[in-house]
Amino acid sequence: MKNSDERLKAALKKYFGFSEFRSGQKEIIDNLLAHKSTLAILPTGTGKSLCYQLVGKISRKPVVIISPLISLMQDQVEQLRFAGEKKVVALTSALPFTHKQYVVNHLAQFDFIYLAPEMLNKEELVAALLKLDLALLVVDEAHCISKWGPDFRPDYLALGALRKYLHFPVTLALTATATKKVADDIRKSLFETEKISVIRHSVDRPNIFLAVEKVTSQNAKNLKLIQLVKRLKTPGLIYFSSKKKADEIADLLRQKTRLNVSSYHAGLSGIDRYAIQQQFMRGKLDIVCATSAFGMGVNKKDIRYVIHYHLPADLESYLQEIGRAGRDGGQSIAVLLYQKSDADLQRSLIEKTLPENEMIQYYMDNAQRLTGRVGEQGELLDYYRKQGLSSEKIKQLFSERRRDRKSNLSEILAYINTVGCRRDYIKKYFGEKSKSQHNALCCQLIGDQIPFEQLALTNSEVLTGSKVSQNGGYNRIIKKLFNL
Amino acid sequence: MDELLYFFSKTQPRRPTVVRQVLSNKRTVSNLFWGMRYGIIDWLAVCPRFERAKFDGEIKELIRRGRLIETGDREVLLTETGVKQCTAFESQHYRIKKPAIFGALKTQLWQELLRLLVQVISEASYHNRRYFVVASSFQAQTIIKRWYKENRQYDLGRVLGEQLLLFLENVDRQHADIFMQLFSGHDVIAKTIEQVAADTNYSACDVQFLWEDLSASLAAFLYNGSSIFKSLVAPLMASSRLSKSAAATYGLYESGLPLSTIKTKRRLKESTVIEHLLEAAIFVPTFDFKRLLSVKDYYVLRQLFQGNIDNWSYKKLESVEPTVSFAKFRLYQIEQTRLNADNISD
Ligand SMILES: [Zn+2]
Repeated sequence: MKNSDERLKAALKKYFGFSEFRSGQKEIIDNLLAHKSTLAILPTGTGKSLCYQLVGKISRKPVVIISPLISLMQDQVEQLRFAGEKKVVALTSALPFTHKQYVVNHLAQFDFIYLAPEMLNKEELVAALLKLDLALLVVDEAHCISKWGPDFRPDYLALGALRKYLHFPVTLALTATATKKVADDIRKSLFETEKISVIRHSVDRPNIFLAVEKVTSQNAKNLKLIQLVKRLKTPGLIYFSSKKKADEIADLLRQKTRLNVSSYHAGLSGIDRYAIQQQFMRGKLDIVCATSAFGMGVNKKDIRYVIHYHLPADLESYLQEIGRAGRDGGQSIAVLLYQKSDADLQRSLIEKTLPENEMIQYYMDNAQRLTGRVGEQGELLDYYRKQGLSSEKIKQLFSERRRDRKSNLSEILAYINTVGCRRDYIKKYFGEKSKSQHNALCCQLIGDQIPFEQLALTNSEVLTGSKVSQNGGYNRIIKKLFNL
Repeated sequence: MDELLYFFSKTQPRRPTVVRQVLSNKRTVSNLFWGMRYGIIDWLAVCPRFERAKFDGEIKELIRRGRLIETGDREVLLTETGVKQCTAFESQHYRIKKPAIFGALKTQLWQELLRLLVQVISEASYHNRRYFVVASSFQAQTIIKRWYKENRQYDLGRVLGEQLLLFLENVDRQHADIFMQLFSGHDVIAKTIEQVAADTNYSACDVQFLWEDLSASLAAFLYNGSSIFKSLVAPLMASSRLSKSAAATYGLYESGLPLSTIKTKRRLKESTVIEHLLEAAIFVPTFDFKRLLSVKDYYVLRQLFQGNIDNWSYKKLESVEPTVSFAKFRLYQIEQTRLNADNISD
């Protein structure tokens, strides 16, 4: 055993340049190398992808990773390439047809194959997967499989069947946050009755101070935000649920502070997204105003604060997002800005994305004509109909889902309004038993001020000033670029 | 909106529809001819995705604000206010300087290649192999990979640096600075269009135009030069401004074949062959008009038509000499436009 431990460490050093595993990593890798399928529930920033990458390296066999978000997948592919891994590919519906065809025909040439779940509808691809001698099947963001979860993806439901078809390959299901209900759902739909190992780490991140700031109007919210960012040590991340608002507030912050601020969302070109990520990574931006499109692949360790301008959809995604702060272990803070009307916005969002009974009936009665044309609401409808579910069953599923989303919302509101320790509230929500010792550096109790000084999070350093604009004249840039 | 004023004239009534169709590369002979008459043919394909409704709305607004005035028959003229507004606009905004290259170059792909090229060579100049590649398509990455493999033995960093300095020497200083800020490389991070705009007096749209204009001009610079980079640009640069099909027809015409043979060889209708030749007459400076217009045709046309070419009407010709076709009439108009290039008003 000792011998194999040393070999594992040597491999870690060789492929990734680290000399120690981070908590949880080794346990997972040991499991997988012993051919035990594993469900790993680890907070973001704990190096989950390293686990399957190392297993692929050691066993010298291909790894297939199912991943729900194109941007996330692209980021991971880039990071692997960055680490010198050339045989990586991401197969998504966004690829041009000829490229897709090429990859499917040469699948065996790749060591790491990222797949968008909708690609699994392609028979040729599934047939090509069957021919591979897989080291591992990875289901990333496995909570998408759970219809209890906020990010439910119908295509993920087909993954159980895929495993069966591929003769039950060793599987690693990864997720950052899962309540007991969601974890059970993942087990059932992916592994049925198979025995698997579950590795769960606390969702709690003790170095992130938890705070909620209640405001009474939009204007007050903006003022509060300006006050916070002027006061807090950078770099920081501010989350929004709309692109427009992210742009608008980035503008406002540029006007009202001397900080370097940019917005980041799916509406930007790939080139601009690249530039902003790189600027942020290399400390040339103080603040990014982002939608949830940001952050998946950004592995910046020294983010000091995460502020939410809008209400997150549920505590799972909230924890996921604030988890980007303080990965270096340093003191950080998460602030949720809340105005009463935010809850109404979320409620109307739920209504807008989930069809009512009437709509469902209309769709089912005219399905031939409407398939693929109902937009956001239609994706799920199409899926259920193709599964052969009756209108009644579908109505029931949607009303359950509506109820879930509403209960997620009330959980968030309860977190905001809790009179006790916020950290305890979160732990309880995720079914963790240990209680935390509340103290001044733990969380801000309702009605209290944030102890900036005590947290040592005040902005005493010199501002980044005009770092972004320091590129200079064209002559200098050219000389710098080409080492002339 | 005011940038549309560039395409109108105080003296020559112009049809907005023609302007729109030229900008979005609708290559009918009529559009091309009038584009030539308006002196805006170089702008072919500069805005391939200009929406009709948006364009029409802006023209309407320009008329409402008195910058353009309708003169009947769907034509408009620049007003005095329009001229002033146009000058004021130009002094504050970036104006594309070499629009003609847009029609010849695969601009989208070139911009991707250029960004990648600069990054790859920059990182290689510092012997760094681990970096995040700028956002780019699979196609662009494949092209650069292959090209780089073939040429890596040369001192690429030095040569590219020199080429860029040479190119930018003849570009306005501020524009050159902006242009270079849009590249990423070793320890150099590009600014976004918005960030550059915030640092200057330009709008994001201006910066975008500047980027497209200068990257296209750089392509032409490298294409016309003899550096190692010529081989990267050449496959993206069309050798002729003709559409593919028209170029094929014109090739046969140039080799001296009679129209009847061209028609059979190309399996085209005669009218299509004639359209292709008219397109060639507009774009090819050495086009031989005398092969299609007889001495007698010239005599008739010269007798009937003098003065402003815009006002010549085929109806007048038809009533006097119906044997001279509309195509011949148009050819003669094109040739005369060429001969008195001075007569084109702006
Ligand atoms: Zn507490």
